[in-house]
Amino acid sequence: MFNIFGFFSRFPIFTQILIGFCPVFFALVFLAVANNNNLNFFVENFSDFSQFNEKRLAFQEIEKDTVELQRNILVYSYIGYTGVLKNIDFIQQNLEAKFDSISPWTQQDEKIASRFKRMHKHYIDYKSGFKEAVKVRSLLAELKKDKIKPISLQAVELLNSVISNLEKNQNYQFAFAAGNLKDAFFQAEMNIRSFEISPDSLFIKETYSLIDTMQNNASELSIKIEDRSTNKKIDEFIRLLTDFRFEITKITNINRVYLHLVNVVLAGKAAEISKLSSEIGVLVSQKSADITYDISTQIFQSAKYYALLSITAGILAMIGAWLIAISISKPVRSMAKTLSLLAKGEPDTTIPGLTRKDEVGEMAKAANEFKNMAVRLEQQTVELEEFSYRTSHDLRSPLVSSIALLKTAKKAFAEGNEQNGQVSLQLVQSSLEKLENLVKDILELTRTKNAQEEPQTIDINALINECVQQLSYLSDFNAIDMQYDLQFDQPLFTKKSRVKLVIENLISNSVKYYDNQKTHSYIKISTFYNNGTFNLVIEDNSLGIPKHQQNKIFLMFKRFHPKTAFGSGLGLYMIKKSAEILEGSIVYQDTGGGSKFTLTIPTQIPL
Amino acid sequence: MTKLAPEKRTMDISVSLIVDDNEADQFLTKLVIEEFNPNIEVISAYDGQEALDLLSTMDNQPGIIFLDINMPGMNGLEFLEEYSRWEHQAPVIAMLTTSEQTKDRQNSMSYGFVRNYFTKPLGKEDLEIICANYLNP
Repeated sequence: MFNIFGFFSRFPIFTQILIGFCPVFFALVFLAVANNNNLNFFVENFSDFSQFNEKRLAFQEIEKDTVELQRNILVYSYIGYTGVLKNIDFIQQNLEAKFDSISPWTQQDEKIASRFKRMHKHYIDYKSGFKEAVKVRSLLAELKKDKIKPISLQAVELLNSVISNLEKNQNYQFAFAAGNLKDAFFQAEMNIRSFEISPDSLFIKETYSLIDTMQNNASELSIKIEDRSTNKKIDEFIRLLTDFRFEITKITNINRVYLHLVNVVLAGKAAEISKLSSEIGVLVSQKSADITYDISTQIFQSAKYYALLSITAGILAMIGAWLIAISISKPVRSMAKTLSLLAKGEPDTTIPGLTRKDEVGEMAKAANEFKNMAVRLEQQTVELEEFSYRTSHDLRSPLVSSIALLKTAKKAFAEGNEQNGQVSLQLVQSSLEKLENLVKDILELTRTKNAQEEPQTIDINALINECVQQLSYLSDFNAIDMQYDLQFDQPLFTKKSRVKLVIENLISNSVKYYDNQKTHSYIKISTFYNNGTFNLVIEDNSLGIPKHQQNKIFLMFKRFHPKTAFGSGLGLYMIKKSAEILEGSIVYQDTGGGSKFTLTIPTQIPL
Repeated sequence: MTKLAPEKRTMDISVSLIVDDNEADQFLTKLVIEEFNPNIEVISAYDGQEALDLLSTMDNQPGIIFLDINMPGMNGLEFLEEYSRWEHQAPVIAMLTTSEQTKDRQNSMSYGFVRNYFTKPLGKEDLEIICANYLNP
């Protein structure tokens, strides 16, 4: 399984904290990005929303303008006042500008687009219809001016002439009848004018009956009057009335067309435009309501989403903090426990967190050094206790014996027992000699233990030769065959006196414990280089070391040959210590018929 | 201290064994014993192993063994450990050592058959104690 704490422990605590809070940073960055996206969405939607509102208002205005346009057209159609046309022009321009500005965005929605298209077409039709209406209107005006007016003038002139002729002839009765005709004609003219303002068919009907009446009356008058010229004029008036009727019929027909155009076609188109415009208005409102709904849904979703993310970030922060806290506090706690165990004198305690690469790991390493120091101190204390025990014994023992022996000797000599006296004195001497040797070795041990020595380049062959020369005074030396196989030819840079101590002690042991039962005693000294190490082998066929004692050979005050007991038991201990100081090792091998010691040390020891 | 119960095993009360690596001490102890009772035969061994070898060759166990603790080869305590596994032991085993350490005294006396713990040199009084307690015929 992936060990999260192991993973954390690879980094310094500072980095661990950063890593622990990483998920929170990610969550926060994610929140910020999501927030930004949402804001963008809102901004977009709000701008859509406000645009839709604008459009809705634009459609309302189109509707309003259309109504206004229709109203103006109606006014125009009744009054025919050209000032209104300017107004209409202005409204049309306005409308066209609105159509142009709205047109592009209506494409976004099919329903709106199709309605808008239709609306636009209606407007075009409306515009051309209106043009037609204006044309018709001018045609009417032309008719009145070109036809009705000359007829009226001619008719009035004729009647005036008839009246003046009759009055001249003092035919007042007929003049009065002609005057009535004139009044009736004025009435008809008035009716036509009224029709222009209010196209009521009643005016036309009344006019037609007035014309009929006038023609009848005029015909009766013409029969009654004998003056031919006057008769002629009345006949002319009757003919004019026929023309008048014809023109009125024409005007009525054209006016009907005009009214149809204005009241049916244009009003219908205006109504269509208005209807479509209000439909589009509804659609736009719907659309803006949809957007409002979308926005509020999105806001609600986002709120949920943010709450979830915030909770997640919080949980992540807690987990991160928990992991860091555990990852730091756990090893620190166990470290504190371990240190207190160490302080209580339990150096066997295992130090936790040694493999960590952070500050806790450094602390663990320091604690481990502390532990090693405690172990060393413990060993040294044990050794010191052993040393003091053994020295007290081995120093006292020959003294106690010597005192007793001297008493015995004194007594023996007093009793004349010469032999016992001499033996006692001899034993005193050997006891004291042993004591001296021991004291010498102890001093040597103390000296070598505390000696601070700098490494130097050593000529090992010369050193071996020097040691052998110094030992040649030993009593049995000449009985032993010294053999050499010195192959080591590398530079050796180490502590000279330590190497010398090892060589001297090993050779002197071989000499001291030589086996005089064997016909050929030998000591073989070999050296060789192996993988950065200097190796010294001293092999002999001496008494060797009893099998069951071999595991104790390097302990302090160990002696193995009671009868040949002239050693202090410190030699091999000092050899072992020296090998350790030289950063190497010493190994004993039982060759069956003797001993074999191998010293292995690095060829270079750092300064 | 109680008197020793009649022994079934064979032993020779007139033989005593000194186990000591120090010749001077062997000599002194032998002198004291001979002076106390010239009829006692004194034999000696230089370490525990030699003593065990010697004892195993003897038909009759010696009456007293004087045992030193600090010896090269097999020391006194190792000897006791080995000897304790034997079926029969000498009736009197007395430690005779220079060591006055409580640890050594306790370790030796923990073997039931070790009767006394004397410090060197051996005195006439020590032998009298042994006789009074165990060897009185």
